Amino acid sequence: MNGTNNMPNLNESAKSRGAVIFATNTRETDYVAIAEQNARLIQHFLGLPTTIVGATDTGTNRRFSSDTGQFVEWKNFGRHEAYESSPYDETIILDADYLILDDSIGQLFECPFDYLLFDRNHTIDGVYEPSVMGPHSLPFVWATAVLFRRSEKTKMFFELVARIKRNYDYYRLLYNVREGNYRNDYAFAIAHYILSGYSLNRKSFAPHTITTFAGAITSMELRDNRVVVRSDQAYVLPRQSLHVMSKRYLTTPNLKEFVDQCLSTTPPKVS
Amino acid sequence: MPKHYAAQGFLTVAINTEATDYLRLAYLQALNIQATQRIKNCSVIVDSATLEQVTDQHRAVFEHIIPTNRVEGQGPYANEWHTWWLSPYKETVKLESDLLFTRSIDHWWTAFRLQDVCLSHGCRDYQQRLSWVRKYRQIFDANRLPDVYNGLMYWRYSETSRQFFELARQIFANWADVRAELKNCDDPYPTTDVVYALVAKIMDAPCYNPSLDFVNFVHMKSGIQGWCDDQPWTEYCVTEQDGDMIRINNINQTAPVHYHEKSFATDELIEYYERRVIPTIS
Repeated sequence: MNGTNNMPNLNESAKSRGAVIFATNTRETDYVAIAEQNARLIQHFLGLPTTIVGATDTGTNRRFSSDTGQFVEWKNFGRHEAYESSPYDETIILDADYLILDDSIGQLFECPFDYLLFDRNHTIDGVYEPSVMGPHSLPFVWATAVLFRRSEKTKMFFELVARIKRNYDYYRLLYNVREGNYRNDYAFAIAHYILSGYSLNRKSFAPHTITTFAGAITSMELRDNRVVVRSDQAYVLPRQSLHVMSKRYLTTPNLKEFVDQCLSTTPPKVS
Repeated sequence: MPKHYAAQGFLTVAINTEATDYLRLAYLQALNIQATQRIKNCSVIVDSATLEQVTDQHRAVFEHIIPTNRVEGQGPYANEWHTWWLSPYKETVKLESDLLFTRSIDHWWTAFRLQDVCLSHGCRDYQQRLSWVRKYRQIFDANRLPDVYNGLMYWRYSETSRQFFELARQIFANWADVRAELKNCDDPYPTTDVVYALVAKIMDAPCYNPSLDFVNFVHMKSGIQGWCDDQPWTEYCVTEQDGDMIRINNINQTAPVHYHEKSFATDELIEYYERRVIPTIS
């Protein structure tokens, strides 16, 4: 190889990369405020900008609140708009409540993919999470975090997610999905199975799990590079990105204090 | 010595019972072989009662319809060992009649030829994963028998394969004595899977090849899918045909499908293959 081949191609523009968080406020939850705090974490740990998107196709649904034990309003149907909404060439779509506390998700861009999904979720506090979409359905996929690069395949993927969303009653029956509620998780899973030639293609799955804390949280604290989560008992976790279901905690000023703590740590060296 | 009419072909046994029209299943399978395989020769072994039900429609797809009345021992599989002597092929792939292909296995024949007898090894669930379910294989585990299936097996006409089936014949004929030596065996009649597994264990020559991890099939018994046995899997799943492909719960079945539940062989499915195959048969 000569020196000319080692030189960067100056005609090739640098690819833009960033995070997109879908957030639509409900009566109970200020998702935009949560997303703003998460954006600070993303900037610190990933060195990436964040765009907060209010989807046009939000829909209205209900989710179970681990804080109150009751179902509350939930507007989060519009994930299929991510391809059009993202201003970036390489995008990380995140739930507002998936707090980025390390750089592992950013490192996934070292992998070759058009889109990358998470098919595994580990719940810290032992709450059962389904591994399939129904007793006779296919494995679960989590839309909590999705990475994608702009490509024909990715465009097709998001168009298919939108079609599944529009015709959800049909696809729900076809795929034996137990739950009646529309979930982005289901639409992403079904679209992935179809686009993979009706097979369970593991190549588009991330190599690690999403970590979730499902129960009500009273406080979170960063101590010696570990995250101490207090709920009905205290959990000491390694500092890693955490999907926090307790919206009551996330909408208190305590979240900002926790984020401030995190921002006082040395950020990872971003390549 | 058997009379060999062709080098290679598929063979199945269809002996109707009160509960099951195996000839119908074998007919569906023959249509399926015509649709999916390049080596299309297929023959069926029938008893005299089933032979009376053979029609011109059947004769159009089966190369040979081979009658047999020879039964030694008791039970529904008592004459399975006899297939070696009845096969019209020098190289035979013997199938259970409730098994369908979704793509050509022509390249498998090359792999089969590594040995004289090759039983399929292990099975898959409908998601195409190799199954770890041992629910139906406890007798195999208790007696350390190889995890072989007779649902799809190969033999080449040879002394080794003759010995294999001769040994099988002896086990079928002396089942009461053999069963007494086996752990956890309550089977009043011998099953072909157990008998062939015993033979494979006894024989010096290899009779299965775990290295050929593709020589197996999707076994649709509900337990293998992790489901209850209380209902047939056809009650749980959406199935569809797409050309040669069979899709179960929206997953392409790339491995052969041992559908097991006989109601899967509907008139619509048979007509589907007839429409595709009959015009091509001269």
